[in-house]
Amino acid sequence: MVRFFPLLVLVFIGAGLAIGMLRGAGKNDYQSPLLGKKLADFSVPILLDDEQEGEGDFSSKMLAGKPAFINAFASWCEGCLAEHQTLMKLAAYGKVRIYGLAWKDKPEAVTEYLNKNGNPFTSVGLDASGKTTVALGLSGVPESFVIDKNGIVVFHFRSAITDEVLEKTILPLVEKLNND
Amino acid sequence: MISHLKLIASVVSLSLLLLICAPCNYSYALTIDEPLPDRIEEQRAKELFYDIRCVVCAGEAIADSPAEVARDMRHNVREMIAAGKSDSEIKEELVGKYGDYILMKPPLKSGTLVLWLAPWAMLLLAIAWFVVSLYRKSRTIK
Repeated sequence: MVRFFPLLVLVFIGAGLAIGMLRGAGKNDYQSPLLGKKLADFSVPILLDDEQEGEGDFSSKMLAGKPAFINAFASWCEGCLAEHQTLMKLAAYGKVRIYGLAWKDKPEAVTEYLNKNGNPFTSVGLDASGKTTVALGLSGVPESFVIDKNGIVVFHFRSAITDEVLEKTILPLVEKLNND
Repeated sequence: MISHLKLIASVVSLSLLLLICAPCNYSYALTIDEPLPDRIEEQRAKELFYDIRCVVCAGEAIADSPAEVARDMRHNVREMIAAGKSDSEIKEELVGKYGDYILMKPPLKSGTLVLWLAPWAMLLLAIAWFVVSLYRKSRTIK
């Protein structure tokens, strides 16, 4: 019986690893350390704007005072394209302003992307260099945040949002924030 | 015949290895990191880069990673050094943004205890089994 011991250990470890790896995308399993904290100050040039007509910067100041949904995306990012229709749906509900942060992208490419796929954003800022990456705790794109009217991060999602996440988490959350 | 199999096996494993690395060759813009003008500060930066994990390429430090996020982190670390922050302040700030896993050596806490002890436990188990099997062998040899 003892001679089976190493084999059993191997099977045990293998099973543990398999279960761990098959559990699916792990990025959102980690509790984001940003939850409950105020979103960091940041400022990048405005690319497209419905509200301010190009005045001022796309910044944390601009977001202040009301709940907001912030989406970091890029025209070259496949996951961003995959979630785009979900963002359009969120925009169609009209319950929260959606702000787009184009990350590591070019103005013409972003404009083309939004013309082609639809524009759910109230405002779009462009971070071409990556100065907001660490400030906002970005691991890449797509990444989404919801902040309350005080700028506190109440939702942080590190992959493409799905219709399920929209319906089960984002919409109820936005509803709650709007009623506060 | 065997040498053909070995060749095929090595080609297949090399391709698999390259495939695994593929997501990490995801750079939109090839830019060169600008070193700090102060040589001592730049040296500190280079050492810190080995302590910080790349969030995109699991297992790699930002020192080695070609990912854009790693590049931004390196830039950010350099900025913090130039602003006079200490190594521990820099690490603390990154942990504040990304969590404990951002450090290559996660701190010793109750959550990470299993992580730290598991390899030792497995080594001990292996040695114990080895000793036991030697003992059993020696008993059967008359």
